Amino acid sequence: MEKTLTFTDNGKEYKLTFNRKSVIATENMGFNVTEVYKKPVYSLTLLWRGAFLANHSTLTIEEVDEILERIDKTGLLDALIDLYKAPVESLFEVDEKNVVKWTMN
Amino acid sequence: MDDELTAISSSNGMQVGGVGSTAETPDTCRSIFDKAFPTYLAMGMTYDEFYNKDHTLAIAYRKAFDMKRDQANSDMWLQGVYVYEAIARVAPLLVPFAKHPKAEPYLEKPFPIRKVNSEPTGKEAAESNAVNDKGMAYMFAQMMKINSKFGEV
Repeated sequence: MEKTLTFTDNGKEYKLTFNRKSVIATENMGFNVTEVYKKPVYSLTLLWRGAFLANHSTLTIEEVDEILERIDKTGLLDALIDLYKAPVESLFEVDEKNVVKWTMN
Repeated sequence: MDDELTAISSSNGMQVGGVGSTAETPDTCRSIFDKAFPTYLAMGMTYDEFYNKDHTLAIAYRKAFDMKRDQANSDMWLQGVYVYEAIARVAPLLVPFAKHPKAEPYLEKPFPIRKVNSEPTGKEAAESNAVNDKGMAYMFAQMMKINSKFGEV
């Protein structure tokens, strides 16, 4: 199953995710993964808009930005980057037997 | 595809362009997808599944493709075994100057490849037990013969 970021706003449930087409569309909007931490606010806005394309493409950009203004942004950028990376990562073979696990304290 | 993607983002009033907006730019996600797409197309994935559906489908397609290849490999190996078996059964005919060579008939049944097929039932089980008993008796006789030789020394 694909990764999703879910929340409810004004009684409506949103499931944000990226498919490959919305990744390309986000790139076309000007998002560059190498500049995420140089331009975090700009990147967050583009990622946020892009994450709506897969499941909520009927929303206007104003509606999407308005939700972004109100949402809790703690950890949001990293979560969106995770969503954004997933369609690319799924193309690469991972040798599950020999994978090196890591933890963060 | 370019037009379609532009339409998606511009329909929402989103700006299109900037870094990574051309297909020729290396190291963009788009170039990675475009390179990978023919491979997945060969595995049977459609354009819609690859670009628009759940991206984890690609993992399932890859595993299914590996399973298909393993299956084809096993089938070819099994075919080789049948050919080997068939040649072994007609081998007596190929011996030069043999008197009255006789080929054994081809296998009556295919080799059991599933566990449910491989368990002997009724008559087959009885025959199998008889063969085992005969083997054990032969082994025992051989052991006695060898032991008796050591006894003589």
